Amino acid sequence: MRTSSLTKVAASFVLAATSLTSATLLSGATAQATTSCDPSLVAKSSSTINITFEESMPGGAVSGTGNHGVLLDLINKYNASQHKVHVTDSNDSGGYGSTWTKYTADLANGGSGAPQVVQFDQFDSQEAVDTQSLVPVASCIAADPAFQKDKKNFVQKALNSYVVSGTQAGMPFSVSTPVMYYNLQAFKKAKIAKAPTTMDQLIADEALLQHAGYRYGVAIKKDPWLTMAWLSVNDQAFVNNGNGHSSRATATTFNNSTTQQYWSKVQTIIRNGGLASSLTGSLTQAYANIFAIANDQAGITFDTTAALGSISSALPLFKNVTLGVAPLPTLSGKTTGSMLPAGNGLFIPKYGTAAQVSAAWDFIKFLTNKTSMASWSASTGYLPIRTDSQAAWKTALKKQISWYQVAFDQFSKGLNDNNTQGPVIPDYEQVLADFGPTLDALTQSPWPSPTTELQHAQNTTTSDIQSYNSSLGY
Amino acid sequence: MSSRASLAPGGSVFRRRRDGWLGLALVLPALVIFAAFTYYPFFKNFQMGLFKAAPFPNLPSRYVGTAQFTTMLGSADFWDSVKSTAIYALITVPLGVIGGLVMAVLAHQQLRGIRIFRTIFSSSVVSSAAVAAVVFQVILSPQTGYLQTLGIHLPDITSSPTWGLPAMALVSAWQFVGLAFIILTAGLQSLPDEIMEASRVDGATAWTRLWRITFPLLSPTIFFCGVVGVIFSLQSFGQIDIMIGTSNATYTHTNVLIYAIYRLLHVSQNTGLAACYSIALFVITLLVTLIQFRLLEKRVHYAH
Repeated sequence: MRTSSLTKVAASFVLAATSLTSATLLSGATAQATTSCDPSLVAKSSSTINITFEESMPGGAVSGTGNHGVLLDLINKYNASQHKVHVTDSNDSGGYGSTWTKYTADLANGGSGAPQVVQFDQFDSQEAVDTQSLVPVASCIAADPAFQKDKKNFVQKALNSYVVSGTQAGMPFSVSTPVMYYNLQAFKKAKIAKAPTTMDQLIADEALLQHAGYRYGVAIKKDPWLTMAWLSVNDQAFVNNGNGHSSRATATTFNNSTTQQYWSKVQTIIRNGGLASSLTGSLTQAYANIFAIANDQAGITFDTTAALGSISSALPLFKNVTLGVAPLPTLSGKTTGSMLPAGNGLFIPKYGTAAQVSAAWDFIKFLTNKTSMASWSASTGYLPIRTDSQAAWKTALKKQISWYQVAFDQFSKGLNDNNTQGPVIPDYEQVLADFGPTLDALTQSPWPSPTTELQHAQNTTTSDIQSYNSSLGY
Repeated sequence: MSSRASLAPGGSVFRRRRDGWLGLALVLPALVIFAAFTYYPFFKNFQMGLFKAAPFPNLPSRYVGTAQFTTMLGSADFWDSVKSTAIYALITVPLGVIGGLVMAVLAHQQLRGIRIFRTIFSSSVVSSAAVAAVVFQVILSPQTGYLQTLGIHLPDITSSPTWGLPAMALVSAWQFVGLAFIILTAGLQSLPDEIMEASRVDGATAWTRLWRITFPLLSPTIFFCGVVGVIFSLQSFGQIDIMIGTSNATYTHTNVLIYAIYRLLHVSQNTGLAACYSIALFVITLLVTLIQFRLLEKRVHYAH
């Protein structure tokens, strides 16, 4: 009798374990997949279509505060403006990396739990396409005559930056570029008349700033983005195959005389006492270059325009700084290309009903329309990706517009080709990680030759791109 | 009850079988948990090492045999990681054990308020890796750090290829010193008082007692502390992730094996190679522990 009870207990444990395993396996069932886009389905829907928007904007959820707060306002505005679609926001405060990790985890569950609209880093476009989990926005555009007419109002380079292997994979949303920040009060003390336009002038200004008591003179962040920017303004590619736009990139191509000359100049700046700061880490590490300006240790640095919002709000605390913004200095003072866009874009995962895909496209169109884009760019520091949003953007920014205009001109004027649209890089995160040691080596003793170091980085990144491509069967 | 069982034909067999089922039922919950979270992942790792994973979990993997193990063993990155791991352990373990030992000996005094010191000395063990990393970041930051405000101008240590790894090891040693202090204090408290008393009566000085009696008697505990320290240092991750991160160029110099595994998994999405690295870390941990037992245990004095 007792033995029989114990047997039942043991059997219950086995059954419970089996049930738990089965339940776990079943919960990972593949979600419904839609591969085409029919924008008319929203209008035809008789009930509200619910969709989720996964995004990585920083800042709290307070209306109008920080990038996330501003985005929430837009989402609420969209939900209030119509009753066919309801968007639920899902914020990853950990940034693009966190969104990417969460999204790929959803893929492991067959797309179950995947959002209907997702925000990715622009340079993750190739990997996003490689997940084979997206409905390309090209299919929505092809079926949407109204948008085809509206398309002319976009800065074409911004749209083109999301073209992967000839197909519009996602829609641009936030665009920023690197610019040169400087302190006018430091310039006055150092008797510098105007912002340097060439790297040689930058080297000369560094000495003047150091002489005026600014410890570093110039602070430069060890950021691979700068190398991309230098190539872009010289109309040169970071990777092969049309900078990855015309077909899948198989190798990096960044080691050339242009980048070698730039890095040689940067080496001179650092050897002369300039600060080479980290790309990542804590706030004080990742923005050590900006803090160097705030703490009167440097008078010039390079950083993203996306930081302009935060910088301008902190400026009243630093009476010793009068901010100036200028284009990045070049080798000759002239540019043959133009500044590449960088930032984030919006993608439509295929895991949803046809109506949800249609609703996702409707929401993306709202976020990128004339009014939303003016509001988004004026409140965040990102640049407008539409030419017809500029008037409202300029009005909203008032006196600060001169700072932003510098960045917008760098991005929107000049050549629009594959080289200036930003590279489409397979295994971008790995390429970024590979680049780190090179930048580290280039900016410290024993000051290796840029040609050798860049070639080493080119070999490593090419090898990793090929390994990545081969894991996908290419 | 026993008389009833013995009266029944084959009663002892019946009872043995019943006890067997009871034993199985009692260990089953633990067995299920171990099987699911330890044994299955352990053996799954070997299987994953034989497949080249697609970078995304919804795409199929390809069988490549032992190619990834060969790639790993021929890779300079792997051997750099092994070297970094060894340097990391060589700094962390001696610093932690010696620091813990010194503090344990100092705190093994009958003084007023000694409990307060014991609490302070052991406090680092309850500090998470994240807390330890942030504390040291605040101290060491070249822009806003406390040392900077005290007029001590250090270079950016956490971004330095030369000092990055020792700085991380220092944070780990600081964390481990609390655990070492607790283990060694427990060891000191278990030493027989009569031997100490006898040595005092025989006129041994405090120094002689420490070298000739305390340390030899404490050697099994020090040995245990060393083994724990090696395993602790081989698994250090949080402080490196927080203070360095994968995008910081210094990460290549602080890319200890456990961090390399994380990077392969989350940056490169290369689960196959990450599995090979995990197996390598397991083999290294096993070998180091075996070597410690073989070589150091001979020098350990066990009281009988």
